Amino acid sequence: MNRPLSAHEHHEAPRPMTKEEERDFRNGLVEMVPVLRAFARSLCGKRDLADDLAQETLAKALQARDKFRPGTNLKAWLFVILRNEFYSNHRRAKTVANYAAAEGMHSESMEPEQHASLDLSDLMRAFNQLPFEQKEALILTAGEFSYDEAAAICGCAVGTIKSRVSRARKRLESLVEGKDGVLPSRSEQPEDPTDAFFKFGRSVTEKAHG
Amino acid sequence: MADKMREGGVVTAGDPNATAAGRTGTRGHKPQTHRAQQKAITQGLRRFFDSVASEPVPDEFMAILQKIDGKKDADA
Repeated sequence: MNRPLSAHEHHEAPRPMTKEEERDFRNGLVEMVPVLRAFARSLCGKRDLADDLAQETLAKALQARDKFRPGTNLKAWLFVILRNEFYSNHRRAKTVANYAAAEGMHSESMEPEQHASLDLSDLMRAFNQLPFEQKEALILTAGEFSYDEAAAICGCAVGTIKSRVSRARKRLESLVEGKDGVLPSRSEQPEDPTDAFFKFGRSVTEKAHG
Repeated sequence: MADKMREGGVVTAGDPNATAAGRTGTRGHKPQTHRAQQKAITQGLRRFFDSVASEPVPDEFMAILQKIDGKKDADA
């Protein structure tokens, strides 16, 4: 199976963790639950889908724990797994339809608190319209990771992350500013999110297999 | 003229349109406004991320958390 990244699949011979390392690993997983939920919600928008994704990630991580190298960045390792789960879920028809329905929609789970200088509800509706690769680049670099780390997680060059962030910011800015004409109204669903989604889904699949 | 150029800050000598062009970014905003907007976007996304991360972990995570704790078959 061709995965976009294999940071948790180092070819060095894995050694079993010591008891202490395994305890630290398990504690680490529990500590990371909140950020995994947040990353998942950022990618798929809907709370229930995101929480399923976060739980799948934890289960995979537990199964694959011998592939984790103690002392390396556990959060980045988990985000790689979450991301791989998210993109491989796209290829499952049922989940694809669910994500498509969530994509671009205003959903209560994306409703943030208000902020004086920028309407966050507008921002998150605009954010939902971005391609997944731009969403993840923005979210990863918004505070959790450096550009280098984000590039490692996404399996691409640092320059690619920078350019995705730049394009995403420009797009968000124009969406937020031109909200009267560009953003879907809060009560309105996009006409057919499935079309755009399947186009994107194909490009991801092609990329992954290409 | 020299004073005016200092006022403009980004004026290029010999270009009468430089002041207007230099002061305004896309959609007629000053570059400072543009930067503030970009910063607000990053902060907004961060705020969203943090607000989800600060939610209590839902009960449905109990099963996987118990597995992680080793209270159930950890290899399942």
